Amino acid sequence: QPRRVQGWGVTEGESMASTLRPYLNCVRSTLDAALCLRNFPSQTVERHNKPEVEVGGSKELLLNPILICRTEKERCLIEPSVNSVRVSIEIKQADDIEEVLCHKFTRFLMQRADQFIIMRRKATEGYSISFLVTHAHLEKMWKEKLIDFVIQFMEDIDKEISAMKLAVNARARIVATEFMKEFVS
Amino acid sequence: VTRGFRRSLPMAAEDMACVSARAAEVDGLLAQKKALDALIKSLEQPPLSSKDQAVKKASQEVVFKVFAAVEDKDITATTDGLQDISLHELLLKYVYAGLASPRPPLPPGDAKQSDIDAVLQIQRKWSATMLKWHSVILAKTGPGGAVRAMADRKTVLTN
Repeated sequence: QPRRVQGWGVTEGESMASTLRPYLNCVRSTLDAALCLRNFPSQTVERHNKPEVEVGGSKELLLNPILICRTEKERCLIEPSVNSVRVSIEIKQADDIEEVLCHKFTRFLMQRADQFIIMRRKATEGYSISFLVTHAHLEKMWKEKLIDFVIQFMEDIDKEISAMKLAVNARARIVATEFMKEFVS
Repeated sequence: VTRGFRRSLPMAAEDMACVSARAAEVDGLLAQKKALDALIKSLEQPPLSSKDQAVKKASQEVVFKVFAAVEDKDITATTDGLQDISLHELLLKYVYAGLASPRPPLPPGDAKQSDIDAVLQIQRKWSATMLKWHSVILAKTGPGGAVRAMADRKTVLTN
């Protein structure tokens, strides 16, 4: 049984690849601007340090959220604040199979969120997956590499889901062929 | 870039009449194929202080019309024509507004898949145009333009 089929899905082609690069470049440069974070202890609770974008209490600490849409179904929301940035991604899901695969795959990743360090355990409302980057992360990791990771993630997840869909269809075809052989004399 | 340039943008409170008048003028200039003049006209008197979402949306529509009218190959030339640096940053804010609103809107959920695919295709074209504008203008303003689009309290973005 073929395990994996590499490359883009058969339905997508040149037109997909050509607009993906500018979309990722836009997300990259916007993240570059948004990831200017500093330590900011909580103003409301003593000795606490919370990511302000998650608390959402004080308006003066939150910046304007930026939404970068490729289509209504494929977009990226960047919510900056003074000490944290939340990046939410809605992955392209063209049909029912991709929807199921995307849901299962993102659930798998989000259950292992602490391995990814910057991943959020639950995606923001209306999106497939979210990242939460705080000033503490930027103190330990290089900002450029972090942005590279997020962009690479966005690229690879599309490829993964296309590959999984091809694998599902290939396996289904083989199973159906084997099953039907029973009825052929 | 000094802070002095901000005073060149008039902080007049906007209302629909102003925006409609500007829309009419921009339409006229676009009909005469004067894309650069239309762009400069559409960026005049942005409704930065306005709390009315309808006014902000209408102002965005005026700029979006110019975006759609300019050919992809002319984008660099048109932005080079904008001499005023403060306009570059305002333009970047409008580009982010354009990226946030895919058009045309999707038909309701029970529409045929082929209809939805057709609309998605047009939305991709719009986003491709917006992304081109974004890369050209960001090259001019540098990352500071993006930072100000996020940090400015008075923006042209709707809530």
